[in-house]
Formats: sequence, structure tokens, C-alpha cells
Amino acid sequence: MIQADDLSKSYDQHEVLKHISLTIPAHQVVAVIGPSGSGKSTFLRCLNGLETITGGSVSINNHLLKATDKKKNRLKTIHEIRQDTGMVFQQFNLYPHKTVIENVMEALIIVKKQSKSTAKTVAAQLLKRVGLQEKEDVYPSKLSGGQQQRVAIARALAMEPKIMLFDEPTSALDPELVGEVLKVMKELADEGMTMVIVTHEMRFAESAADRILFMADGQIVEDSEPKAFFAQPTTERAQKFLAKVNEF
Amino acid sequence: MDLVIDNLPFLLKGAYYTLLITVVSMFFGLIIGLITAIARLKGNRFFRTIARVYVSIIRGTPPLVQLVIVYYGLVDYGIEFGALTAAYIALSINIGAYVSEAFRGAIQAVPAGQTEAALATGMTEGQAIRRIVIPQAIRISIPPLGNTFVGMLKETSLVSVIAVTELLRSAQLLIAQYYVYMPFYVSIAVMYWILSTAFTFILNKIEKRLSVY
Repeated sequence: MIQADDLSKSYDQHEVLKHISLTIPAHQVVAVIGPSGSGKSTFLRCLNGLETITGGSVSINNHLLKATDKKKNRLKTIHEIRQDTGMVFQQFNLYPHKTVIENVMEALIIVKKQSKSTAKTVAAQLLKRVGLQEKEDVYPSKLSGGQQQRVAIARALAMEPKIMLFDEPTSALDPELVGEVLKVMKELADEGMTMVIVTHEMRFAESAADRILFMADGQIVEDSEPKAFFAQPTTERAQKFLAKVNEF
Repeated sequence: MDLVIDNLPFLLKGAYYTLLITVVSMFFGLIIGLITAIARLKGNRFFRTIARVYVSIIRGTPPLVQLVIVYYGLVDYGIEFGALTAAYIALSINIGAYVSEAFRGAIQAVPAGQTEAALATGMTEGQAIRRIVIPQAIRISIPPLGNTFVGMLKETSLVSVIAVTELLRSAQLLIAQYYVYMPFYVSIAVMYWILSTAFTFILNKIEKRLSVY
């Protein structure tokens, strides 16, 4: 479903991602963890073209994006990739000038060219699924962070993506609101969605993910099963990181 | 005072032209400004350069000079406009530059995450700008645009030099006729002030209207 081949990303001289290769099969839930600045978010953003890769290639649902592609081809491939991927951001990024249901309907109307009434039905179902049916007509600013993030998940799901990308979805939330977002994500995982989640929620990663990628300095340092990883990380970097996380 | 009241219809006609020139130039200025702002932010190097040079020239030269170039200067090349048309053209081009700066600032003030979220749902860059960025930018741009428009309203007085009988010139004509200055000048000052205040009021209403979220 996702394949990265020698994927690299650098800004000017600074190499943020160094020759990453990996394959993620369909229905797998992958948690990407690691210290800040390790390139986790950049890696995730390379998967749907929000960052332009500078080396190697990435293939999403058989849409192959190569660093050497001409701009026109690249934009076309990225556009196709984005039809198959949904993304959830740390800062939610809901459209503040649209109501909750309009946020979910927007891409259905603009990208999928659905009629307003069809889009509304679809959006209402999704909002129900994330438990926000009674908030349809309010503006995002009136919602708590957890509610906003659930709307953002519904908005991404509206496009019926095959892959969901989560970029630290709970890092901007008050602690008591983290649970409601993770619950929705867990349900998605249980339904078989292919997911890549950059997260600092170690317990969630352990319980919901099928696979842990530990990144440091732009590389995947460790790639293992959650149980094994959290019980006994093999590399010193990962051991130190987990020790720090568990300090308190 | 009686003189002013007797000639009020004439002065009001001047006010009408002042308002007309303001509104027409504002309308075209908004269009020019939006296109220029997008060209500067999203255009290729060619359009970016054109837009930047345009804004730089307009902001770096007096509006009076721009006006006489359009009205008198272009005649040398066989391009002749009526006085009112010349006023529309010169002022639209002038205000377009200032509007573009207001829009540019507003577009940049919309967080990058908004565009990213739109792109991530499969929108093209153009769709993201039209549907997500511009609507938010318009609201942000209203206070600076309000300043620009009120400035514009006052700048229309320049048009009197090319013999368009707007407020200032209608006062000057009356002064030439009656040889009294103060009552006419004060009354047009009051009219300018009323018009500016009305403008500000309307813009505030629009801003409130757009601030539902």
C-alpha cells in the first residue's frame, strides 16, 4: 500500500530524511515515534506530497512519485495520491469560516463534485460516527480541541481514503481530551484502515499499532512489533528515548 | 450660510460625482488588487515581477502625477479620454496597488495549515485559494481596506484639476462666482467627513457580518 524507496528529503544542505526504505501493507497500523527533530512529521508529509521529496521515490496505492519526476507529472501524481490519503494535523486546521458540517462537505462538493444534498447526507453520517451529530451547524471556534480534531478526522474520512495519515493528532490537546480522539482512531484501526500515526502517546502506540517505527536523525532506527519494542528496544537511541519518556 | 443653502443642489451634485468616482475606482481597484496580490504570491517569476514593479511605481509616485499622465500625457500618443474616464482609470490603477498590498498581507495572514488541509483533501492549489484562503483573507483585509477607501474618497479631490466637477471643484466654481471662500470650503469639508463616516460605518457592518465565526 505504501512503499518508500531510498526516500530522502533535504532543505538546502540540511538532510532531514536519509535514504528511507520501507513497505507498509494494507490494513497495517503503524506508529512513528522518536525525539523531536527526527524527521517523523517530514516523513509523513512526504507521503502525501505536502513536502517535496528530494531523493528516491514513494509509492502510494500504486501511484509512484519519484524525486526525478518533472513538475507537471509530479503534481499530477500528488493529486492522485491525495485522493487516496486523508490527513489529520496537530493543529486540526479546520476551516474557521465554515460550520462543522460544511467543513466535512467542502471537499465532497469541490473535489468529488457531489451535490450539496448528497454531501450533506455523507457528512452527517460521518459526524455521527465521530459522535458530533449535534454540532453540525456550529463553527469550529465553539468546539473543544478534542471535538475539533474529531471533525478533522470526519473531514478526512469523507473522501473515503485508503490510507489515513495522522501528524501528532493529540499533541495540541488538553490531557482530558486526548482519549476521545484516540478512541475514534482505535475504531478506525479496528475497521482495517491503513494508518500511519506520528505520535507521542506511547500507550496508544503500544495498544493500537501493529508496528512501531522509531526514527532518529532522519532515519528509521528501529522497526519492530509494539510488544517487543516497548519491552526491549534493541538500539541504544530507542532505549534512551523510552527511558526519558518514562522518567516520571 | 444662505449662499450655501441656495447652492446646495450644485454642491450635492459635486458630492454625487465624488461618490461615483470613489465607488467605481474602488470596484475596479478591488479587482486589480486581488489579481495583483495573487500574481505576487502565486505567480511565476514573470507575473511576480510585473506585479511588483506596478505596485512599486504606483506607490512611489504622486497620484496627481498619475492622473495628469493619464489625462494629458497620453494625448501625445493619440490616446484621449474624457475627464471622468481618465479619473476612473487613474484612480483605479492607483488604488489597485494599495488594495493589492492589503490583500497580500491578508492572504499571508491565513495560516499555511489551512492550505495544507485543503490540499490534503484533494483540492488543487487554485481551489484551495478560492474556497479556503480568499474568504478568510477578505475578512482580515477589511480594516486596511477601509483605510485605503477612505483615503481614496479624499483623493478624488485631485480630480478637480482635470475639470471633473466633483466636490472640491464645485466649491471652487461657486467661490469664483460669489468671492466668498469659507462657507463653501467648510461645507464641502463637512460633506467629505459625512461620506467618510458613512463609509467606515458600512465597512464596520460588513466586518461584523463576516465575523460570525
